[in-house]
Amino acid sequence: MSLHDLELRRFTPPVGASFGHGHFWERAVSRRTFIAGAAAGVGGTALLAGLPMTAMAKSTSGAPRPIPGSIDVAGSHFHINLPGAGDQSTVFDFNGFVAATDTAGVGKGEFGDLTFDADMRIMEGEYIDLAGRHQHAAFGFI
Amino acid sequence: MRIPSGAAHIDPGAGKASFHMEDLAIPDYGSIPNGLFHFAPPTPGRVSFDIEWSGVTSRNKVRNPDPMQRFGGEFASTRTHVTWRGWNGGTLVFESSDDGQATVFGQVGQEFNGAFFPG
Repeated sequence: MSLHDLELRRFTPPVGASFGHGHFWERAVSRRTFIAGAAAGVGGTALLAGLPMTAMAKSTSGAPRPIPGSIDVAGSHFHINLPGAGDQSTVFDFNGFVAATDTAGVGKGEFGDLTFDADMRIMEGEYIDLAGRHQHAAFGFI
Repeated sequence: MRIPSGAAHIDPGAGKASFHMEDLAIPDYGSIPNGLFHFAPPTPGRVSFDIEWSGVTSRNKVRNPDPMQRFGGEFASTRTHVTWRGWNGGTLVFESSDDGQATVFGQVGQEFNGAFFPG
């Protein structure tokens, strides 16, 4: 199954779906951002920051509007697109520069060798905040 | 999250970008399911990282009027390199290797979406 298949299906896992297939879940929605796991899956170390952007937006002055997004998992909607599948900005009503990466690699963990997958994005430019005001700022999807 | 403007540099014309942060506090949810659904509270984590985008492999223009996208722009596909370290509490739990990396996706561009999408 390709990333684009997932995107088009607006994936929702079946009831009882296992979280055991690391690659699949990393590709689907891990996306907050540095994932370091044992090669066999996601059971190893993970550094994972994870508030949905809407939650952040409600509490922050000058907060940006999140993109509509295309990821649905177990009844939850995530305001982000998969790497390479659509808009890579996580800020909507945005006009500016963007850089995005999904990089896989290896490294040393506390107890041995691990693999990682890092989805990182930066955006810098003008945007219209939730109050309708024009703003200029830099954001990172970390 | 909002970041200091000096932490990121994006040059779409050159197809280059960089993103650097040091000792950034993040909530560590420990696993992907917990990161998504917050079954358990996170523990304090920190990361330091350097990310570089360079080496343009292709360029393309995009205009996507799909209501769930509504974005367009000019983009360069690039290679990327990530160096990062992560701590949970005071313990170093991961340090990346400069060798053996693969760019699954890399992009630098200038874009507009939402209210800035024409038409």
